[in-house]
Amino acid sequence: MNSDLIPWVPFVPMLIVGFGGFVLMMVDAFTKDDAQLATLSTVILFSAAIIATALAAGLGPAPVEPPQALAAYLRVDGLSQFLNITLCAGAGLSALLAGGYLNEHALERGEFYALLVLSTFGAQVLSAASDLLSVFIGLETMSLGAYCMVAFRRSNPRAAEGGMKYFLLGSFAAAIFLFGAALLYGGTGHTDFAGIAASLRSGTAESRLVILGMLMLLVGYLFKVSVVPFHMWTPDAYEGAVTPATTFMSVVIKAAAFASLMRLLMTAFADSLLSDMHSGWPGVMIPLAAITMIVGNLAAAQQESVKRMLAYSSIAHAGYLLVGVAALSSTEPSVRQEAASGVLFYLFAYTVSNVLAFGTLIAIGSYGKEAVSYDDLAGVGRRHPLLALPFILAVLSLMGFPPTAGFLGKWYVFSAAIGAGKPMLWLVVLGVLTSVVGAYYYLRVIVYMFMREPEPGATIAVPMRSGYVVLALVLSGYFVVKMGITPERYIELALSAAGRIG
Amino acid sequence: MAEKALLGIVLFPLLGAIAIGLFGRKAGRSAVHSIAVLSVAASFGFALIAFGELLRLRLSEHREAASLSFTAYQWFSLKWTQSATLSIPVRFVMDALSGVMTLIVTGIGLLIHIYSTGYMSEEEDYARFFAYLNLFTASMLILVLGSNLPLMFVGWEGVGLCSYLLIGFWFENASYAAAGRKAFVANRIGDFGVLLGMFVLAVATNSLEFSAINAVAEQRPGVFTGAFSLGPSVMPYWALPGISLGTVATLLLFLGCSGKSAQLPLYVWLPDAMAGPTPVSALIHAATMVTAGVYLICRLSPVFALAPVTMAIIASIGAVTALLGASVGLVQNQLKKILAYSTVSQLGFMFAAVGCGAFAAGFMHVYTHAFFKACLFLGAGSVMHAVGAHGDADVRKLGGLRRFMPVTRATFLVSCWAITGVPLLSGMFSKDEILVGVLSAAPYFSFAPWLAPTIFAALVLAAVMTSFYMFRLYFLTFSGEYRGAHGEHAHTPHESPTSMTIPLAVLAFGAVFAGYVWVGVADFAPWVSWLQPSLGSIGGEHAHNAVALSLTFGLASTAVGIGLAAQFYYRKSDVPARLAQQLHGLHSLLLDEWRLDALYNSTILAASRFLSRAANWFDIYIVDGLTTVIPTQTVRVVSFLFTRMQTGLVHAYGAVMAFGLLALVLHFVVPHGDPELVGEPEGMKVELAASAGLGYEYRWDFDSDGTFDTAWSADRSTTRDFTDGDFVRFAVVFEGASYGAQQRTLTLAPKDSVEVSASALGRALTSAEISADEFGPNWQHGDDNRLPVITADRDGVLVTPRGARVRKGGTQQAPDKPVHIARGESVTIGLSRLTVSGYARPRVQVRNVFGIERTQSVGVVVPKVARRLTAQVAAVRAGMP
Repeated sequence: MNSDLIPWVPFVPMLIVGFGGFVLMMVDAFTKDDAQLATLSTVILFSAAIIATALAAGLGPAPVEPPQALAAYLRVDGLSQFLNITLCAGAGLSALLAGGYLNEHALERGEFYALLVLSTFGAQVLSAASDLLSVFIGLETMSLGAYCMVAFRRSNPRAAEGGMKYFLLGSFAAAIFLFGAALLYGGTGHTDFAGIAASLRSGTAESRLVILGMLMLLVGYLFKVSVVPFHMWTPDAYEGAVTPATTFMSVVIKAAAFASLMRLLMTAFADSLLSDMHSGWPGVMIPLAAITMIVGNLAAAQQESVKRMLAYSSIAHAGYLLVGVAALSSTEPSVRQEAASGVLFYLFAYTVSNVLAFGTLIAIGSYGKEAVSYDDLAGVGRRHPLLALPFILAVLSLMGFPPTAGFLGKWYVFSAAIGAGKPMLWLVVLGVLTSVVGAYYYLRVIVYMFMREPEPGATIAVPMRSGYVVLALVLSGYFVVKMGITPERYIELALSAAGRIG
Repeated sequence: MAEKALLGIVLFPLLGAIAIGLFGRKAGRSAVHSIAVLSVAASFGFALIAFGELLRLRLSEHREAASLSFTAYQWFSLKWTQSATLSIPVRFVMDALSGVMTLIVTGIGLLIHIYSTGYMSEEEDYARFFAYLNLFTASMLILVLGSNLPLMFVGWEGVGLCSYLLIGFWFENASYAAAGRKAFVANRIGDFGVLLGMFVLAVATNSLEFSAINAVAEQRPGVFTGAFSLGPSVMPYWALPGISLGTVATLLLFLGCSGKSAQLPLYVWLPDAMAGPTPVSALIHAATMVTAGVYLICRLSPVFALAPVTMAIIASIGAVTALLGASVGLVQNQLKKILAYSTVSQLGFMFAAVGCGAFAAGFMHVYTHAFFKACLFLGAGSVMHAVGAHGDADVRKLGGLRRFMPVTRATFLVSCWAITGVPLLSGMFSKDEILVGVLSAAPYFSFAPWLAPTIFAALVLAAVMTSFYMFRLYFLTFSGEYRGAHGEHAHTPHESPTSMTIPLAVLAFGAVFAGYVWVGVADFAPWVSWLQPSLGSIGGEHAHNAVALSLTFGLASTAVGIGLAAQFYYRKSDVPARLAQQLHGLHSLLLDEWRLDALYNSTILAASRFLSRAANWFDIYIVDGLTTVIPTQTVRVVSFLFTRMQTGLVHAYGAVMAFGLLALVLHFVVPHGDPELVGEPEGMKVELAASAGLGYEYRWDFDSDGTFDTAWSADRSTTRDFTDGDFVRFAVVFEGASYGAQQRTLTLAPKDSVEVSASALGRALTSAEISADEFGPNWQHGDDNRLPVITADRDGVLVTPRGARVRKGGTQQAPDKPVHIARGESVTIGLSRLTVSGYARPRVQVRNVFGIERTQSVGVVVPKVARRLTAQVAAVRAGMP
């Protein structure tokens, strides 16, 4: 291989997805058959995921200095490589779901796949970005695609409403983020994470601007991962969006934002004064994680729509993940690594579990006979036991029931938090207690599927037939079980990724 | 080789049970009973080999305490104290006592297995019956041969299980199944006692091996005669006064024995147990399992001998049970029920004997009783087989059977002679020795000189009744004319097959000759000298004239009983009918078996039913009601409120976000001091630290006087050597007297006082109160329950005892004079301790880059007061034996 190209090798997953988006637009313009677009985008995303896996596992050329032009802006380290896997897998599975869903519901328009793939590219950039400018570019690339996907079903007022709300509030959050970035630049003279950290270390930073800038950046992130009280858009947007888009948002956008937040906190704001348990960012992360777990779980318990329940459940999961993020403030490097790897493992486990849940919800309904509420699930277990199975697996995993991926994700995050010390301990206790509330609304799915019969005269959801959806269910179901029973390789991957953040 | 035979004894019946249990249904009947009989025969053979070896060691090598032992494997071990490990092996030991018992179990077990092949030949569930019977044999052998209490307990539970399974063998019949359940429950009550007794013995002797426990009893009797206490870690401040550890342990064990061996008050299951097939009644409920209680007492006889109170209770219960069983037997009409009450009564004789320290005599009765009672039961089975009766046979419909079944009649008659104590038959020897033993126990029961004579009288009376009811039974069954021909048993009775008559003959032979092992030649008494190394002793000699008295009364009781029975039932007198009419009340009471079942039903069972209903109510209304309804309703309401917040209006969403942003700004703009102690105070020196923050500056005010003692500094930690002027209050550090009590620190300003509450039972204490419960026992001089008053003045803390025992510096203080405690001093109230220390409240002011200042404080107790009881308990534990 030409030695000039070697520094570009780690960027291959990102480049495949980026160019893939343009290829999709071209193909869309010159072909009539939209079903092929689903296949093509899936191939693009999965091949990126596979290459990223190979790179993360250490296959490929020895790491060299990244190309000069990108060095300050993007870092292809363990974190971004692991995220490439998670993001591309999650996006690929969402594309598969879209392949079945859009076709079934007569929404097949090619731009959906281009939006999805380019938004994924933005997410990849975000997870690798090590400079406030590249972070913002990644964030916006990712978000613009997502706004459009939420409003994709234009004729539906709920979709338009959800998309509009998401866009308005997202702009608000982006403005706050940008303002924070400006303040940080003013305070430190740097936009790159390393430079900010160096400036803090040398004491040349203007503390007031740094503190205000930091908290504004945090608000931008907390909005994206839908932490209470920046979560209000989530239920409306999730419910209005077409289900594959909801899936995409809940897994890809959340994962990328969490990864970038972790990178920011572990590099730019790792300073011991800023990460003090009382006065620094953990002081806000801990109470926010607590109220997010409470509000997410309690509000989810009240929902009658399964899709909305899953939206609140994604808020609750943001709370659990935030517990892991707060544990990054530990003074013990091993606890920090454990916390980071726990969050990464959790993100992947949540991705496959959520795809499985939304995927089954898609598979149970068909055109005009969609499954949305709990009532629509009544009797599904009797009528279509094979479809009930993945849903059972999904809710058990989301609930954190062994032996599933979700259980181990929660386990690693919570054990890292216990390692981090006293105030975190209470957070774990709260996490376990709110998980009990979670059991209520997750198990309710199983109760409706197996122990209820549909009301007489109610429209009965009829399952759709789609090879795409089946493939997505099989793949995500495989990972949910595999990661729950033999998690060693995934943990190893997450640990080595967490060991190489910088 | 002989040691390995011990394993064979247990293993073969067990393997037989497994083989029959797994494959018996498929295999034919002949395969089933071949396996069953051969496995028990093999076990008997191994028992003979081992016993022969034991005999050889004893007779030719004159090793008094000879025993065979085989350790199969290490079962489990417990970390017992810091130095000792309590290891429990699966080890079988055959000594003089267990050797005899093994021969009884395997020998009689073999005969009954053979008998069952004939008796159960019509049974559908042939394989299940033999699987249970073999499992029983194996369990009983584990019980007998186990070298330690836990292993013995495995067998103990095993025989209980098999008994339950076999009583309820015909479980389609609801009352039979209920009888099995009753046996199980009554035994479980006793087993609870065995377990507790086992724990007490383990704590007292650090071992569970029988040999080790008995060795402790012989070499260090003080362990058992001392007051009952399980050591400071379990029972720190109290011991049962006047009750020795030995008494507690043996009483608990005896509870188990009374369950297994059908003594008052737990005997009620045995009469019902006759629901099982007759061979089961013979083997389990007459010859072997029910004597396990006697065996256990003999096994631990050195321990029991050290507890005269327990022994008196055992003897009394035995005597009362003997009377009760015999009296019920007088009037019953069901063949097996009479024999069942006879067993209850005979077991009472055994317990009376071992309770009076006549262990060898009691165990002798186990041995002779096994022959004649098994023979009687099998004879009854033979009769029922002959007349086609199921479950039980009514003696009023029998009669004249001597003509139809000569072998059964002969063996039955011999056994009746034996049980009534006709001279030169086995029963006479054991009965006579029991009476001698009871009379000789008078010096042992020094606290109740009347006890031994009373028991003697009761047993003689019971013996009269025994002779009467046994011969009543015999005459009604075998003499006269057959009365069943017109009733339900229309066909002519017939003698049973040889598979049944041969065991009868063998047992009858034993009933005649088994007693001769007692007969001594010169100074050599084989039975006693054989068992002596295995049994404990209460000391003392045979009482004066005891042998003569016992022989006289024993023989007289036999003669009177048989004579009366012959008069009433052989010569056909109308006296019994007239007596029953005149003593109608007593007669119906006896017929109703003293109505103890009804009594239990209306007392204990009623209470337990009430308790279970109350628990059910508690579960429904408190557990399911309060603890689930309240949290779920709370969650419901709160989650409803959360969903209301989701108004759907985008500007409201934006407002919430702005509110969140504001909260974040507030958090970062307000400085966080949160001062806390670093490490433990060393004397008066304390290191304090506030939390770090970007651009934070700190200054400290240690004495809380409002002026800061240090200048602004960026260093977040500081060290202070506290002086008297720094303290704002007194810290009263209180440590209660209960085990594991935590320290509580109350702070008192001058003129403050602490509430002492009378009792805090049933509620949580607030952190500002002290409860009289925590003072420990005997905390006051009188018992007027006045409570001490704790107040603070300018120079210290005042405790006004008001009758409490307050000590300061080791000297008792006057009951009503206030005691002054300065800082650093301490007093005890009862067993609790109260120390006065200093309490300072240093403040730190933090200023951040936004120029905002915030003052926070932390409470500091100096000097630190060490916990007292942790140190003491650790010391006591380390020194525990």
